[in-house]
Amino acid sequence: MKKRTLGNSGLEVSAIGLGCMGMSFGLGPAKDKQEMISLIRSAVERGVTFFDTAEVYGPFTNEELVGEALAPLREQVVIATKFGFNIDPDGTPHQQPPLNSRPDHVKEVADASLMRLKTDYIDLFYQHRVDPEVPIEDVAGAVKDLIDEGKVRHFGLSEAGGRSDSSRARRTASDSTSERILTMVARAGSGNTAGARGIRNRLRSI
Amino acid sequence: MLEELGIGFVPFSPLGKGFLTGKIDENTKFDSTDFRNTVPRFSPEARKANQALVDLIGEFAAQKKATPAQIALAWVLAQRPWIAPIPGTTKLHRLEENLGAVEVELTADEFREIENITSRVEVKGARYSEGSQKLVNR
Repeated sequence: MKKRTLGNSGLEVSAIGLGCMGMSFGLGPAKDKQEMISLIRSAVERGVTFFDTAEVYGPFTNEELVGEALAPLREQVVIATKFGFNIDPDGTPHQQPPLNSRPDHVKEVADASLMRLKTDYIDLFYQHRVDPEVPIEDVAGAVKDLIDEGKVRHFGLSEAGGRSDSSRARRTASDSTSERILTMVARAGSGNTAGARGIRNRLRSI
Repeated sequence: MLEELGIGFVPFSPLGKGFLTGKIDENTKFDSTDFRNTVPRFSPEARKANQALVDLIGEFAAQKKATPAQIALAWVLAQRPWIAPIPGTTKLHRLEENLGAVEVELTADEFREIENITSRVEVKGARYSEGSQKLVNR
């Protein structure tokens, strides 16, 4: 499998990663856990080194699945997970507000994710959605603290738009990967998500 | 902008939440827990309209002896060398199909042909429900 490096971060991943959400969440009933563990390990055998999950997938169950599947292979792989939804430690989600990227919460989520992922570091920790209540510098500062503690290696933003300024975030936490939809459907789509110059504009908007 | 800042890019749903595999059409029924039920782009009407895009990509893929999913992924990979898509699947044969996209090389002409195909079909339906849309792009 070919490898790629995500920007200047130095984070090297297989050219194609594996999105794990649908194994437990969002796309119908959760699949059989043992079968999904086998699938994830088969992906590693085939050279996939980049695995994507999030606290909110389940919540929690997808991180637990990914953690169990990759624990024996941890040093061979890059695990990306995400914080930023307003979820209690017992899994209760809140809608008022739906997001929470306060620095203390980000740090609690990191510790809980590390437990579920059965690891002592997260390769790539994304803010899943921009929290309008928390300045990006504060979010990036929290992740920077986690990086300094060795709990996180790289910081990412997901679905950030023009009003978030990733260069500002970048000055606070040194590395960044941006996760957004980039599909042929989006490329050909309309409105905010695409348009003829869609991809270029979307890239610029980060 | 990302390039200037040296920021990598990880496209999720590079297969259009399954639609670009060509295995979903207007008659597909999703489980009640499937969030695609809330996505305007997955309404039966939108699926019917957007089928034109999948059909064109399917024709291109057949000429190229690849699958539509492989063409979608190869196109994403061809954009920039610092992009790594993360297609999801729960099936081993789909995983292998997706990984096969790494071997699909697109010439400059083929790349332009795909751009041409995608510009010919106006994709119907927003990618998120109104509620979810409020949480993105800010």
